[in-house]
Amino acid sequence: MNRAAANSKGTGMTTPTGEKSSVDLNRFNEVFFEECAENLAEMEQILISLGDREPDHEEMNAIFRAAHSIKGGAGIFGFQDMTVVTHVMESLLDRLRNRETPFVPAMIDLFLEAGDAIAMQLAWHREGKAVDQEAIDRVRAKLQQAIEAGAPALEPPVEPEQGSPAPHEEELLPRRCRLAFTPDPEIFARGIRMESIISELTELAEPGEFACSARLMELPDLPELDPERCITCWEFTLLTRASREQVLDVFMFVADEEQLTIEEEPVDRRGPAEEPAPEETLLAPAGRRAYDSSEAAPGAFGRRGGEAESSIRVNVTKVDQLVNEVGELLITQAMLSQIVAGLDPVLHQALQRGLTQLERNTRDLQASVMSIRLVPISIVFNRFPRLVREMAAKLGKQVELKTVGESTELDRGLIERIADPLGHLVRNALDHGLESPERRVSCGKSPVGTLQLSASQVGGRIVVDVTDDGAGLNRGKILAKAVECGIPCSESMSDEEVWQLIFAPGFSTASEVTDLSGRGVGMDVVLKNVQAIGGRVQIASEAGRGARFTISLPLTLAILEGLSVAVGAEKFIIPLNVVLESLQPTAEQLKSVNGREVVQVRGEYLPILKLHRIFNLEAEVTEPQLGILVLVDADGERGAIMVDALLDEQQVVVKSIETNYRRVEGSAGATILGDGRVALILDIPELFTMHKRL
Amino acid sequence: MTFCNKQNPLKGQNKVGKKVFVNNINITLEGPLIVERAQELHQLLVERLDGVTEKCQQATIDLSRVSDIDACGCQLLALFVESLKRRGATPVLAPAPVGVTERINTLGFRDLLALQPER
Repeated sequence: MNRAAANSKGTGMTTPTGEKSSVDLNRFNEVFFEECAENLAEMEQILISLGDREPDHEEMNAIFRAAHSIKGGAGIFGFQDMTVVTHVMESLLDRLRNRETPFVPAMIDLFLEAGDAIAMQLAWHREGKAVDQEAIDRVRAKLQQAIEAGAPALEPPVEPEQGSPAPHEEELLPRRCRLAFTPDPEIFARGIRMESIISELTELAEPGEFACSARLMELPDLPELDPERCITCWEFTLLTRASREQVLDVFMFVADEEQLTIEEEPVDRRGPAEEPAPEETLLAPAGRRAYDSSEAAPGAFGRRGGEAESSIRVNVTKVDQLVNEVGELLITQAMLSQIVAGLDPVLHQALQRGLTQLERNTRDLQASVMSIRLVPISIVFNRFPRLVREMAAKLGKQVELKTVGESTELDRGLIERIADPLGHLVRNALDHGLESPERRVSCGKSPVGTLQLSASQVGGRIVVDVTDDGAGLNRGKILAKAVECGIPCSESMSDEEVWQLIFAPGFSTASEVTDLSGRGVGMDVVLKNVQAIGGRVQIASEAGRGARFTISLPLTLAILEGLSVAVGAEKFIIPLNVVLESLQPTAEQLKSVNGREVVQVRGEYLPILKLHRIFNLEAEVTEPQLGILVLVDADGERGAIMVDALLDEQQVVVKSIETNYRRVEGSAGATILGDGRVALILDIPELFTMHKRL
Repeated sequence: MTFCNKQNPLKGQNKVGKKVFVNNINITLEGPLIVERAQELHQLLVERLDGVTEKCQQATIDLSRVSDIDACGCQLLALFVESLKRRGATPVLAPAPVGVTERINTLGFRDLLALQPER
């Protein structure tokens, strides 16, 4: 049974065997999915940072821990397929860190490949995406081969350097561990398998040195018992050489701070006389992270380190709900302001003062709430070291990737949508921008090219630059190609105008179409995607010195800068980022082309989109020269929207009209205005399409 | 999982008498005793417990047809055993297949679900 498909129904607990039960497992699985994705990202980050060098002891342990955590979590949550690759990978890593297998640089690629395979399996469980089983089998076989090829006979283990601690020095001394585990009452309902936990603990124990005993914490009347509620606690005793962290890792996804205690007692086999004093015994709560027990999805398990105290994991829907509610508050506040504006200020001074204070508080609250949705852009930047490494290797180029301002924060909704355009720009820079080492040397440059990704907040926008020190854009080539593609251009165009030509659909100057970029569909897609999230792209280039692509984005998608306009009794919002200018046309400017009304603005004929006709409204103004034309540019298509009046330029809270009403063609959402009325936010590209159909 | 004697609670029990659940009773469990079937198992164990009268001296729980068990199943079974004791009956767990016995022991329920040695 396709687990992802089953889960997507969200109607009840679906077990790994596909059976139904009364508890929804999705919320618990999501915890594992997120942790797994984080572990994969962490592993990849370490592997990429290595280049070709051997990981040091700490790095090796971190990679091992990530793989081990994924395996453990997958086993506990019943995703057995995910334990297969992780298991072999873990074995190889274990051999590497124990110097039983010599490290070779190709292993880094192998581990990256294994990470991809696990990510693929994760995507299957999480989103139902297809899995290439052959690829998984291939990786598994390669890992197995690496284990077998590096058998002890192949190379003698390398002696650790003089003075440096031997690997796993801390693991050499066996200790007696007593663990008391009082699980979450929902542990059964969450699909967590105690047998997996016990099996992992057994693996950490010395042979025959593991004991486990269960005890019922209470004895309720049988009829009163919720059979899926856990009332059992466990005590484990094991003799182990594993570190405390390794033992804790077994409970990564299942134990809260108060739910697990570990007593450790060194075992000295020299004799009872030298046994440690009782005070040396360690007794401490050993959970990984506290969480609010009332939280619906106890997704707080398993984070490492000090992060525990400084952050909590909250479901995105909860944050979105909060953002929505603050949006409602803003609307209410705007309505109150509108009412109070009509009152006598002398008689209602106190009310107005209070309202001013309310406005300030609401604004602050909105800013705070919006900041919750912000996540660091490093989430996107972190994807590029690997891309750059692999592409550079394929292209035979030497590239140093620099990232600046990774902590710059961006709305979570934007983060995902900026990744593709950025990836395109990075691939283009590597493929077309940066020269080969030989060419760079012949131009007097360092053979190693530099590609820099930087992010910063400028005013109310986020600016992301992709800068390379390559050859820069070739003006002559671009113009020639534009002519070839039939794109209007001239030699007299400024550099900035020429650079804009590359955003035309199908435009590509690359002489070779490669599998990496240069398919001629790149830059127009970049522009389209960026514009779709209210962004802009600018280009700066200097021949022989490099190029800089700047993407400027709004901080959030939940609030939009808009121009409110009136058409008859209705009000509409035109997103400000598409507005070029507004004008009242003269009769001379108005023409008719193929029976359609157009306005001539500086030699350009723009179609006139009459909103009252598109939306079938009664308008006060039906003739363009009596109304106002708002000139807009969306995705390179320009037009003039005819309105009765321009009302205001304002920030509006974007609401989904589909969720609250139904889809309205020509609108990208709606907002509630200060007077309580709903105004449609216009979707300009869709309006162009509708206009063509009229 | 099915429970034997569900249709006919007398089958295999107090073979000599006509009354139900007098003196010794025999409860046979079948199939996997796992969390996915916890509600079903619970309901039936409650029904069986209701049938245990004060006159009942020994309740034999036959696990020979159990195919699998997990921690949730062990817990339910352990509580059932305790509940039988409270009613004055002596619970006796008849042997389970080797895999199930091993699983019970692995999960730490060896003491709570002390099984009779296999004959």
